[in-house]
Amino acid sequence: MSFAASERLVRTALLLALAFGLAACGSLRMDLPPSFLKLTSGERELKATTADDARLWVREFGDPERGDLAFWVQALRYDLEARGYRPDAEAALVRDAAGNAGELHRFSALLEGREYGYAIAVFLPSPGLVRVAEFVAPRERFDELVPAVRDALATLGG
Amino acid sequence: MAAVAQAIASIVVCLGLVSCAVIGADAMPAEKAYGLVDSSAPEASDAAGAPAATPDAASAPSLRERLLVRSAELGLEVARPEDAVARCETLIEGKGGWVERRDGGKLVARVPVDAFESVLGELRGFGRVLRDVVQAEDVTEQHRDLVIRLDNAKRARERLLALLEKAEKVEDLLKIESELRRLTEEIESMTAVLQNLDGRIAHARVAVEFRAPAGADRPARRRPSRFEWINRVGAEHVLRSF
Repeated sequence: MSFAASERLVRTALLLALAFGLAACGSLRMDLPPSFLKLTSGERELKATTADDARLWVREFGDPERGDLAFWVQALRYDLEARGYRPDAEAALVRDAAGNAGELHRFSALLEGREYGYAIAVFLPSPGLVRVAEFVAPRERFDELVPAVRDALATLGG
Repeated sequence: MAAVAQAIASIVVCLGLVSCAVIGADAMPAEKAYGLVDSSAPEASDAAGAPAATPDAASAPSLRERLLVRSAELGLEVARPEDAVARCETLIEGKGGWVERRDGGKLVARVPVDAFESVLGELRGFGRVLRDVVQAEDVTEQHRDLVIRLDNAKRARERLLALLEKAEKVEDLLKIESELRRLTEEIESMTAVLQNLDGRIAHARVAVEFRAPAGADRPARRRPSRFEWINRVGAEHVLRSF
């Protein structure tokens, strides 16, 4: 077996192990804010929406680089601002159900001629794993709902 | 002849007092300012001998009667400033106003004072309010003083015209005509100032600046992040994925 092939095999095995490990943790759970409806989603993601199209999406990503929270938050802000997102408020420290520290950042974004509020919370629940919770709503609804979304993050686990 | 010369001289002296007339509640009564009333006559008093209330104090306008020049400055964040400017112009013209100046996303307009508050209310709904300054300048005393001075000047001009008809000497005629010219110029000047003030009272000034959210004009394409998960988050992804 060539070196490249063996490297691919190892990587695949690691990813499978990661996947099984994650599966063993069960589905993502979160007490949704009032007026949100949970949509059908995969085990390691959660989608919810309100009747007027405010959206909540929780996902996990592999973090092979093992960056720390400060690094990921800075890299994320750098990229979002390059895309035209405008920071909306000071970052807020948040914790999930397991007590893992995260940061919640808020932005304004102009998409297809309409202004949206966008909030993203980043957690590192375990080494090699990044968990993000994203909340998007039309600007006029965003400010009303974001406090409840922030409170709901404290129930995020799984 | 001497009487005519004396009349001309007294009118000239009184006209000189016009520009020195006191503005405000202590303003000299119109007739005295133009020497049209015998200032040696005793002032009217009530039975107890106390001086009568001055006309100014008695006629002080109530709050509702005060004359105000209203203005507002609004800064609004909107998705499309060019569309917002067009909507704003339509709104202002629909309320009976007009645009004085337009410069990109900035606009200065005049609206009837009765429509001032409703125009501001509608404009605030255009987008996120970044700046909201509303002012009212009280010009009641300024307006009243101008009206009084203008009225007095017109009456003085009438008296000069009457004197002109009686004048016989060329020297007197020339003096009267010279003073008439000067008085006419002052009347025209004060009339213009008063008209301008009336216009400012009747039509409030609204200055609006529309701005797009910061960063909205940045190019959509950017160098992707070297970190794949960062490339996959963002409002645009959330909106597309549901």
